[in-house]
Amino acid sequence: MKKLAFIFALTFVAFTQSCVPDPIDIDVTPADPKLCISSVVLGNNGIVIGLTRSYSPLQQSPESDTLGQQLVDQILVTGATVTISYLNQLDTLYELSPGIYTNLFTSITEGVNYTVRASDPVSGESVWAATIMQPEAVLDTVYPYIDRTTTDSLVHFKFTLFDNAATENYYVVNFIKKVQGDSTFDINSVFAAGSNEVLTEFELYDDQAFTNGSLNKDVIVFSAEQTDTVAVTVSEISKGYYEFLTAMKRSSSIFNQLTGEPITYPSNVEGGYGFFTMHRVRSTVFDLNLY
Amino acid sequence: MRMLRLFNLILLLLVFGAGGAFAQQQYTIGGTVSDSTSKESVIGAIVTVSGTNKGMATNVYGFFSLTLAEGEYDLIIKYTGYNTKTVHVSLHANVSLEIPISNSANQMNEVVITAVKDKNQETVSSTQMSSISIPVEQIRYVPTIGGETDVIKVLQLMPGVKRGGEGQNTMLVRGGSGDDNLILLDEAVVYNVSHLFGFFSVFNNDALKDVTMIKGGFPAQYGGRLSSVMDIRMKDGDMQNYHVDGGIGLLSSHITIQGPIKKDTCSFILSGRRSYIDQVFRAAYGQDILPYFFYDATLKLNYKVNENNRLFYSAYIGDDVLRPPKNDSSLFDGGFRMGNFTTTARWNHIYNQKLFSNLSFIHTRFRYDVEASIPGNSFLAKSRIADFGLKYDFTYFKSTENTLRFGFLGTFHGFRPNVVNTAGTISDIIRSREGELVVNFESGLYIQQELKLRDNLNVSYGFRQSFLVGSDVFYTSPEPRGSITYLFNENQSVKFGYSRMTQYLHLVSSSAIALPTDLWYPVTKKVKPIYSNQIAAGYNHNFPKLKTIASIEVYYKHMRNLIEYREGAVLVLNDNYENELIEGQGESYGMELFLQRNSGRFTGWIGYTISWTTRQFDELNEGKRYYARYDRRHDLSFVGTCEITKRFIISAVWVYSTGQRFTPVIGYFLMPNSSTTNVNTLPIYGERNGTVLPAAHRMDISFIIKSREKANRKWMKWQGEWSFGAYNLYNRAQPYRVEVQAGDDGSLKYVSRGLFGFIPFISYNFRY
Repeated sequence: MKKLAFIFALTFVAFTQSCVPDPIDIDVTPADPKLCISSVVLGNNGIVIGLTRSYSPLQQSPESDTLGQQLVDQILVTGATVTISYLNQLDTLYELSPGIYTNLFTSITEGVNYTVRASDPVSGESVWAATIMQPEAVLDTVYPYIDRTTTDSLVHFKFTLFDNAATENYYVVNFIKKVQGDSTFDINSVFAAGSNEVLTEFELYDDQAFTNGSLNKDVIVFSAEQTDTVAVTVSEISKGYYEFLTAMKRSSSIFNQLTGEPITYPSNVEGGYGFFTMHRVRSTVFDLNLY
Repeated sequence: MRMLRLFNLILLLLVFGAGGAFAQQQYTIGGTVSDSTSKESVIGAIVTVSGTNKGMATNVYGFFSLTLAEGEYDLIIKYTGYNTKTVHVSLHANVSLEIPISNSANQMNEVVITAVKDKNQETVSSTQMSSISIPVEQIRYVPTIGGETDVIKVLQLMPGVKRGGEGQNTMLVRGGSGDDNLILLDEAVVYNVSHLFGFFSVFNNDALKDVTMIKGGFPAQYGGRLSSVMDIRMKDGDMQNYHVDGGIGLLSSHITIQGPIKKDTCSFILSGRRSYIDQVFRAAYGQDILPYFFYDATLKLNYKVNENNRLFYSAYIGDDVLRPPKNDSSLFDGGFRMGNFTTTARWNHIYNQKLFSNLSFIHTRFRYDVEASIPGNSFLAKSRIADFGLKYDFTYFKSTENTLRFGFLGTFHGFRPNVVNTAGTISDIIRSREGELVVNFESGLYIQQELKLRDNLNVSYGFRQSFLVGSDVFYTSPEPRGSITYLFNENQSVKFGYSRMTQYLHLVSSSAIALPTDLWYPVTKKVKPIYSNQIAAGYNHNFPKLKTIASIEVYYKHMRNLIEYREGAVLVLNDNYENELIEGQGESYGMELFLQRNSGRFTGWIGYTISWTTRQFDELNEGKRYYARYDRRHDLSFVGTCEITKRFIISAVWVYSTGQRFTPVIGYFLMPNSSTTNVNTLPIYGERNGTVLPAAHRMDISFIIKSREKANRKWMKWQGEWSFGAYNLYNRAQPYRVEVQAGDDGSLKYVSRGLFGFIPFISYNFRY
């Protein structure tokens, strides 16, 4: 009986696995490359603009998780003219490194409208985007606590955020874990060499999340351990950037990654991709060993 | 209430209007047609009056009624696969008849069907359009994946019916969605029609008696779904002899036992099926490599109280079960169970030769349980939907030319989705919740009249008023229906039909395949009912000499309040699913060609559909209209079964369809994450469903070899047959997903992959 069952099982597997049909070529036209803008505000003076170029899926091997150097060189836009205009002022940004443009003297003022323009003399492409500098947000209270059991421990952060009910406001709260062994903690590290922080969670809130102008939250940061150092940052952001981050958060869901359902990223970049945002980051750092 | 009064008024007018028949010197022959051997009632037998053009088809309980002037008549009863029978009637008073008809071959697996001419003529003259009826015996020979006889896979080969993904049982009818189909098993709604995540249907062919699908021109007694009605009737059970039917396949085995409890009075039929790949692997490898199985079982009891009263009880239960074994080395314990339970109790009552009624009590339940635990943590998610319904249906045969059907259906729906119990630290992440119990009452009052206005003009018109009442919602919808048939002659006709349908339930699914987490939700204040309006026109032509019927139909369907999900919506365990749904509209139009031969040594059909299906949602595709995912321009199917000899049958299917649509990733761009601690690669999608996958086509084939007949073995009436064949004979990919891969020269290209290649099968079926 066992032998018969074995033959049956083997036959079943062979039948279902032995004839995998050849895939069929399909003609899909990749999108034309376009410029992509990202931005970071540096304190009261200074802004960094990331200028990259979109690329085709046919330029990156699906087996590789990292971009090849040749593709990176193609993505990072060099030699571009990048300017930012505000309050009748025009600042030109200089190229800090391939794809990174900055001006450390651009005055950053809440409520002021900023317009960034970028043009690539090689390809002739140009894009622009406008946004308003958002007011600074502050977490009223924020503290961690660790839920310890015999088999596990969970790191929670509790915080309170107040909202100006008179206006429509949007917020992002980030939880950033410092990589063990590194001494520095640079919030703007994406533009610095040797990034040493990892974003573990981010939460988005709009006015509807608030009750009587107050938001009290208890967030579990799953990947944080009780020996980590974690920074909690908060920013008030524009509605458009809130929607962009919402799309980003949804796309990171395991279900969406499995089903591959399309998610469209909103953009305020005319003629290109990405999002031009201007907001400040307020951070608080916690050494969880102390809790 | 106003609608209710209006309905009552119409009912009274029609009934009293029909009462005029009593004033004439006419008498009525009322009766039932049944199989002479098993006493099983025969659905759709054609009863005609010799020398006249009067006649009708028996209803789903085998009942007919003919009102004629006093005199002498010969009734001719014809049914596919049965000998034609003539019954002489001296009509000087109302007469009740029970007419047994005998199977022309009276043996297993008979494909040769005689007297089909009249069946086709009935199709030509009937006011019912957009309807498909497939003999159950024919279904069993159509080759399918794994050799599992599957009624839904066969219906997917019909024009106007598109399948979902490869091997899936999803039916997309005339531009509708998978949840737009009303699937009834002995009048009970079956919510989940699939085993094995949608690859096999839950219906065991051995227990089925009749399968009818309606795609448009819906009669008023049907409602609650937009796109189609699939009315499946189970066998009643043999009242004379015991039979055992069974089969052993690669994936599952099935057995059916039927026979009399008391001869000519009471019978039963019990049928069961189970997959056993879990047991095979356990026996072969000594461990549970594939701890998954499905099973289903049906029971039907049939009690003939007297000539005018008959009771039926039907029940179905089926589950899909995944249960990995718990052992000492494994920290994980969990699994899932999902399935249906339906039960129907019916009372057929013949008030007199003109008035037939059926009262049904219906219960349906669909549930799923998902559980998982590791030391210190456990998770259990449950969902339930349970219906309790009552249907009272009357058919009044005023005259041979005038039939009135009216009735009432009321169903309490109880929904309890997303019940979650968690323990341990996981309860901080997923909170336990009882899940809100939502109870709705859905009902429909209906009336429909079929009139033969002239010898060449038949009309059918009806009205259904549907209601849905919940704790904080009330919806009602008038649903007019109607169709008209004009006969050029007995073999040619044109038809025109209109129907409006309303649907008060939605299937909220997170993916294109059937998962345990797919949930049915009722309409709410925010999520409104879906409506459709459909018009169709068709031409039918019967070719008696060829025993073939051809039809061509065009249709247009508009759908309102369709739901879709916001981009990136996650619906699993989401209590706020309403916020993830958006409303839009859709339309579908097309043309369907159908050529069918149900008689002779060669039977089969050719179906072709050309259609367009679009959707429009303000929040998707920048509000622009786009093609639906399963908008396939062309669908073509050839299905043929040929009886080479009495013992050898060959059957083949060839299908072609334009590739389904998808939204490809056409680029990427880089953006820092929200904390600018890293850079994410974000996809750029093309126009929604803007790209068409390569066309899919394949051939399936099966060979059936029957055992020799041994006439002298009266004590041992064993009949067996071997069936072997293959799915996707020439091993072509049926495209269902797209990926990027390196070509021979190292350059990257888009390719589309299929799920299954060439899969041979073998099975053995028997009857004792």
